[in-house]
Amino acid sequence: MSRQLSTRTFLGGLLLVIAAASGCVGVRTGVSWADLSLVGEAQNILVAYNDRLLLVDPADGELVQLRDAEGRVRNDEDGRPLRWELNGDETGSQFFSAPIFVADDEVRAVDYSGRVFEINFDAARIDDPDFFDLEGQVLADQRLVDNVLLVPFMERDLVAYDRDTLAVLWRFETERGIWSQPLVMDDVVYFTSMDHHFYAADLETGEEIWRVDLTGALASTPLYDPESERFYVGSFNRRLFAVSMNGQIVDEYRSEDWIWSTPVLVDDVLYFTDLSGHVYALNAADFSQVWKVRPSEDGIRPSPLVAEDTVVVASRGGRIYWLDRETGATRTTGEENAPLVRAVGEEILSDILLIEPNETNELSEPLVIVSTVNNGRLLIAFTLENGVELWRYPR
Amino acid sequence: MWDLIINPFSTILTALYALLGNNIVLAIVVFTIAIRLATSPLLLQQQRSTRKMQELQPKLTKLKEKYKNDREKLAQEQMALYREAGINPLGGCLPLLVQLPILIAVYQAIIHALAGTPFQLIDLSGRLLLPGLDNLVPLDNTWIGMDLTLPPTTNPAYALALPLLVLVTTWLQSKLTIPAVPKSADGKPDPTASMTASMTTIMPLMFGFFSLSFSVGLSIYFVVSNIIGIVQYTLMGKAQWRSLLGMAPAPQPATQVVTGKATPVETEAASKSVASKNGASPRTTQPPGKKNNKARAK
Repeated sequence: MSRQLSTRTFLGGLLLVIAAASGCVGVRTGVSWADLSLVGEAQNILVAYNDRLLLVDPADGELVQLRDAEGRVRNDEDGRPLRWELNGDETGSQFFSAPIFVADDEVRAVDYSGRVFEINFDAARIDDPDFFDLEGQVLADQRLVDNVLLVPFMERDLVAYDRDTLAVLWRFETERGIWSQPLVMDDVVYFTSMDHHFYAADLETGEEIWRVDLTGALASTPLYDPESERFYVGSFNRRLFAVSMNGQIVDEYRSEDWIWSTPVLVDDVLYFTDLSGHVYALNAADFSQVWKVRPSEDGIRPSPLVAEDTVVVASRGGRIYWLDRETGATRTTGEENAPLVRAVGEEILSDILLIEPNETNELSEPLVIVSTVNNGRLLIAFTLENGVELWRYPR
Repeated sequence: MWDLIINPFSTILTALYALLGNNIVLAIVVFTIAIRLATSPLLLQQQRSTRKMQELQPKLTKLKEKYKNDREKLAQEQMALYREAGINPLGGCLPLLVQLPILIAVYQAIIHALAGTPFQLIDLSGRLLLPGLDNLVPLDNTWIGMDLTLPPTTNPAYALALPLLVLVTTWLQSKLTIPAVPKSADGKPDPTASMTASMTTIMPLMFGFFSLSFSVGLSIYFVVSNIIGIVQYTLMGKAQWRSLLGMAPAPQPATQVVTGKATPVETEAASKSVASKNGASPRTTQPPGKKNNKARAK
């Protein structure tokens, strides 16, 4: 009996360990999703995800080719074009926040474990892999204001460093860490913390000016509206708050689920999403509801992209929805009036980018860029107008 | 489908966290105890079933010998024997199969509740089924200076005691529940039993090793679960403390071996069990089947 029991226990335990180790989370690697930002006139897409930093050309979805001072493409020893790609694997690094430009051709990237790398941007080369160690985990984008580099740490603090020497200027402690990029206006730093508080601190000294308890974890950067002089911030306690410049809650709206993204304000209407797949449009002035739809039963993490007459949202189920900005209804396309929905088959958590055409990037129409958690489908470009897929990176 | 189990578990764990003064370690301990107690009937049923199977072992061996060249007939006779004894041959597996998803769900619930990264935290959304629990998120996942979401290797050095505790408690639990290797008829160790016994070494090492890379919170769960398992087996009178301490096992009455309906088969097995215990090595707790084989061999 005991032998049979033990064999089964052993096999059961083994299965348990394998199932648990796999975590049932598909293709995800690392701890967070890709950070996308746009660089330069060409609006190249700078991607920070896991062990890679990449620069992708929005025109064709290829890695940007490196060029010399005369603008000629640089080739490697085998005559192949050199491309903008940094592999953090060599240094054991993972990147989830956007590198920061400290000069035209000089970039600093902070990896997840807080190590700072000095990168020669034109050469796509890490000049100094041991430039500095901030000694803390960094998940969110940093903010550079003049000579002050503000670094939000995942575990606890917001720290202000001297841009050049990285000497600590001040340190602001919160109870649960900061997962979003701080805002700076008029020498005041505004930031949210997972400890449920929205803080304002003096940029020069780091002294607290005010704090307000928003009753739930805050994982997104607040939106500031200069016209109404209000901040808008969503919380895990299923609420969107309007907060005045002096830290008073002036309005709140109850959502169906956690809000993890920054709302978007266009023409006095706030658009935001929640993690049960709802998309909301509210009048910013009084928080009255314009419309509320649930295009997806999967959660929606990224902020909505509002452009022209369309609101684009992307779900955890890997679907992208084009909604009518006036009504929230899913737009249709073609003669058959099919819903304008695209499926990419992988979880989408990163914010959506809009790339407008200009003389440098030679695009013919605006592009919507989404990023999945799968390295094999890291970037996918669609036309804003009718959702036609143009390219994928990697191909 | 997993969400049907994981979501209530995550909710209960988070609610316990709130009830126990925002202490996640206490919540894990209480939750693990509750789950182990809730699955006790399954454990008992599994034990009962495997015991019955073992009592049939002599007859099965006999049938195997008799019909070694006729698999079809062997299968028929085996099924007839099971029917006669009122045993479902899968009876020992089914409770385990029910327990396995529960254990995986407990494991996943702890991972979700600890949620130390965006990927983990976003997976917690929608899992908390009771209103008001959202505002507890993220749970305080630090304990005596350790970050429970991180492995021991990235925590203070004393966190390395946890994989060691996992190793020791897993070993202890295995040692107390898996019998010593008996000799077969030819005097050599039974290969199946040897393999089983070697698991008492492999499993603790494996779990200890995994605990080095798993979060500290999970190590706590493993340790608590093992300790509760030891207590459970001890209370059921199945823990072989005497064997572990190098002492002869206390003789057990036959009625403790025979459970359920007293069919003729079981009665026969029980009497063989008593006979085998009288003649077997003091460290051997594999009574009826092996001894019976031995008798026949002679």
